[in-house]
Amino acid sequence: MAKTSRDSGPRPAALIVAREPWLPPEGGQELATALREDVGELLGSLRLRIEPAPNATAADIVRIFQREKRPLLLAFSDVPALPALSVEGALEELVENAVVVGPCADGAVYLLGMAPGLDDDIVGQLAEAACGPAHDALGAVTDAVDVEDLPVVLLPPWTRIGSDKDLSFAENLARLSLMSEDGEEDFLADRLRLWFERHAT
Amino acid sequence: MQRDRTVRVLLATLLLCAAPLTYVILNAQAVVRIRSSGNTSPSGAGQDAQPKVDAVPPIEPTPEEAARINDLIEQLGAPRMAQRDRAMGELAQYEARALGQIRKALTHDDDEIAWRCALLDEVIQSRQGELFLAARKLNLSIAELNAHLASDDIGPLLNILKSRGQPGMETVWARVLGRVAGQPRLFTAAELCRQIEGDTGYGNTVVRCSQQYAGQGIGQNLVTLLVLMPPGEAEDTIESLARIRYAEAANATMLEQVLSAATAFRGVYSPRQVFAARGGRPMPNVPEPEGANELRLALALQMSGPCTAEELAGAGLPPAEKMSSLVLASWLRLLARSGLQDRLENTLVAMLSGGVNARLAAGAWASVAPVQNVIAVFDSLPIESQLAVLDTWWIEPREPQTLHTFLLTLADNPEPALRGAALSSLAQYRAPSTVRKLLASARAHPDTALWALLALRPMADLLATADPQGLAALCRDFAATPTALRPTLASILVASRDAGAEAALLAQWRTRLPRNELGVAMVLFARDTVTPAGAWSAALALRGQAADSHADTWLQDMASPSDLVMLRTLLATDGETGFALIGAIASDVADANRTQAMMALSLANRDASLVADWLKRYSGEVPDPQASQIGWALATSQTEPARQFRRTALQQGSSSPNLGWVLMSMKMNRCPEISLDELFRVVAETPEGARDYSYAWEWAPANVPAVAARNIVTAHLFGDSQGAIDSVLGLWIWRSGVDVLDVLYGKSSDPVPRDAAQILATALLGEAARAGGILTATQSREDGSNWAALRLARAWLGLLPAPENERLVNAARADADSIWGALQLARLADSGDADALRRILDQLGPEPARFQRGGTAGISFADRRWGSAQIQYDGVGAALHSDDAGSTRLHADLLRQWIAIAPDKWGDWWRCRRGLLYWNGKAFAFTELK
Repeated sequence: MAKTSRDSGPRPAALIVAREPWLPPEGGQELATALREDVGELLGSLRLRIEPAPNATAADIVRIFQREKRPLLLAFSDVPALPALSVEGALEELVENAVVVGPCADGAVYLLGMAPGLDDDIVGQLAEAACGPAHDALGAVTDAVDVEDLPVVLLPPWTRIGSDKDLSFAENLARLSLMSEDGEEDFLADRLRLWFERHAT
Repeated sequence: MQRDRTVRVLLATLLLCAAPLTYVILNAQAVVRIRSSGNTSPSGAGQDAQPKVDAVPPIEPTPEEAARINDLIEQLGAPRMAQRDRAMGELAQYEARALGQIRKALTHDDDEIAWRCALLDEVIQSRQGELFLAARKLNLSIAELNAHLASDDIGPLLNILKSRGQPGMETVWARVLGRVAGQPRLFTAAELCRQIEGDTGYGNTVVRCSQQYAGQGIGQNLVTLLVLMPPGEAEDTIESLARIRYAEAANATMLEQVLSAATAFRGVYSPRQVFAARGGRPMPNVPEPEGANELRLALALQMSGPCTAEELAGAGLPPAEKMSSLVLASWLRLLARSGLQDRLENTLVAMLSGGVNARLAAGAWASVAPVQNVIAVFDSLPIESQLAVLDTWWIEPREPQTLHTFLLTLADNPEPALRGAALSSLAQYRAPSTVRKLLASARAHPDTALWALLALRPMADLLATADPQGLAALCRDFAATPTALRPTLASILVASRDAGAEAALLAQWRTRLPRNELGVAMVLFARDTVTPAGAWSAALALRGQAADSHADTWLQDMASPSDLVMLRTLLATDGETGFALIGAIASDVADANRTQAMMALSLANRDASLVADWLKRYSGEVPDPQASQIGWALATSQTEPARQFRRTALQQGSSSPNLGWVLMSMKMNRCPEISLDELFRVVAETPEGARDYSYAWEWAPANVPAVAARNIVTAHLFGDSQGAIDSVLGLWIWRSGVDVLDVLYGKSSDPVPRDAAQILATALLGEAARAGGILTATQSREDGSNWAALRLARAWLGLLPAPENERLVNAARADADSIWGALQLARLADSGDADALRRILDQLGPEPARFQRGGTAGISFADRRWGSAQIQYDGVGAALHSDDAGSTRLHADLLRQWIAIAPDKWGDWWRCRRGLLYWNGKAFAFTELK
């Protein structure tokens, strides 16, 4: 009989890098919590094992990567409604490629995937980039992966909440999603949506 | 004389016209290869130009050689053809050293000498000197030999070799084996090669073949050939394995494969022989891959059987602290299987005092030293070594009382890595004290809480009695638990079956159901099918049950965003509104979730008014685009019409198109009106029925009637699977008591196995005495199709010379997931071997990935994506990769033959008892821990 579709291999690991979003004067901390929990919930529902290291430093990331010996995704706590398709795409690409980068328009990255076997030096540089200033991350990642023959894949751009405009964009996304035929299935950032509802202007 | 010369000129003219042309055509590829390997003109032009004259540059011969070469060149014009041919053959052997003089003779006055020199020039240029000589020995022209070698049918050439072959034709044999390496004919061809060339020539042949052809995806076949027919000299075996590994560098598992294969040669060569052969047989002028010598040494160590300290001392091996990881791992295993515990200890001490990473040595030492001795020095070891020790004990649990106590103390260790490893190790020691410790650790140490919770999950049913206050605290803290830990914690609370815990979870999820907790929430909801959310969840869970999948895993995998939305809706509404919604979905022929909705209504016993319509739709009386899917609902329903539908299907017998739904209903525990025995009497009442439902054999009860059992066996031995039997089916047949030989051959006085699968079935599952008679009389086929199976089968039955029997059976059973391994281990388990039973359950249990050779746990070898191969040593924490609850493959009925108390779903039950299994002299039991 047919078994489950999932193979028996290890679950990929994910780590949510703490990155402070732009916070509105009212309910800022609540927003940060909602964003972080939404990311964790999405990654968990996609069957990634989330490393319980909420304040991981670059050194922690390197250590976890060395220990895990499986694909590691770095997600960020200031990214609203991280698209599941991007996460799944990143995992697929990591089968054949060494690094997967999800870029943001403001020079940050919203997702960073590393395949097992990646050289420790490069992992160190990527970890530094992930934990450094958000606006410099994409440039630092580009420098790190600028190595001959290193297979790198770029994901579709997404956004993070780096300004009040970004937050407004996310709110519009949530509202449009609710109006769509499929309703909230398209926009699974429940906690963020609830925050918008509580803080409606 | 004049006539003789005329004939010679005529022949030479014909040959000049025909042979070189054919030769050039046949070797065009080789010519291109030569040119592309560094002899391209600087301009890069002339891809189609003639080969450069100095593809093989001339070498200055010694004066003695030059004199002999001159003499031989003159003999090329000798009156007797035999003499001319001999001279030509000898000249070809000089290769590049004869080139200078041969080229000077290209304008010789004697046409015969000039032509033969031209041919020799080409032969030497194309590096086909040896092939040329072989062609002469076979009385073929080189063109004819090349044509044979290039032909799709290698049979004619093998016939020529059989009748005219003589030693010294290794080049030809290497090409022949390379050509047939993907076919069963490899074995018969190799056997012929060994007959003609002798052990040494055969060994050289395999080395050459490995060098030249292994990169074409036939490496695994060559490894099999080596194991079944080892070369006479250890050097050749080592060299062949090394070359296969490097030729198939792109195959990430080839390093592991050759190292594993090397273990099959223990007993073929003495330890002294393999130590002496550790340098292999490197080929001159062939570039050596990086690390080749290390690999050869590692292979030699793998190949050595148990040895004495004196033999090791005389081997001249480098000190352990200077060995690479690859070599060191093999060296340590050799020490362990030789029982040289002192040497292991000395190695460990030397490495520690030398400041070298001693994790491999520590792990190997822990596998042989008394547990108490290791515990006594544990604190003084560096952390890498400590983790290695724990990992060893996790894979091979021993002395549960001592280890359990020790692990409990380690669970509070300030070092997170060590604490995590200890917590994970505790997972296989089910006890109230373990539960309390895991819970306390999860609460005290957030950084290792995940390990503690994962270890706790399979024994969560102990929580309510072992630590009621802890359980209450978990319920209290659930809402504030971090997102990453909540699903695991929820699954523990669900598995605890504690009413308070369930109430706490339901309260949470009614308020808000997070998507990453959907799977575990559905497990809890499904317990109460009176509610809409429960019925909806149970319907999905039933599909998993029908697929023989673990409920948690299935729900986690299969629950979709639409389930999330649906459950949130159902939880927010009252029961009747919820069921109205489910009813609407069930009646919408275009809804993708319609089947699930129908099953939900059946589970809630709300389908009484619907089943009559479903039956009409299923039968086609009422058109329905999803008619065939309605069978799921009919298999679930407990209404009288649905029961009658199933009873009728059973009465119609194995030809009934609806019998499959009865099977599904049975699988989902929704068919109380029919017993499993009753069903299997019908399903397997005829060979045809058994064949049609051959996929269902895994559900067959242990006490299936003899006729049904025989039909099931017949269906597999003669069915679509071509008689291939895997480990689980093999164990079932073995236990069924069916006379496999009678099934295969009836009362035939001259039974002959049809193919390799029947040979293996005869040996593995037949009564030994008759099977031995049959297989002794079975002839090896010329096409090699039964050669390997016959050799292994005879070894299994002890029909080969004693050491060979043992060696081949050991090699074949190394993989516990093969039918060989499973049956051999099952026999050992029957005699009370707890380690053997543990290995069976490891492989056929919930997490086989942890125990596969080269898998996640223990010492494994892996190719890096970039750079050379590396050794990986995964700690216990890393072994936890496969923490998902998986399906078990061994039927509980079979398991209960060894352990009577095993439950139907034995995955988690086994996980938390794995370290406690022992043989009490009468039966298998589990150590009771407080």
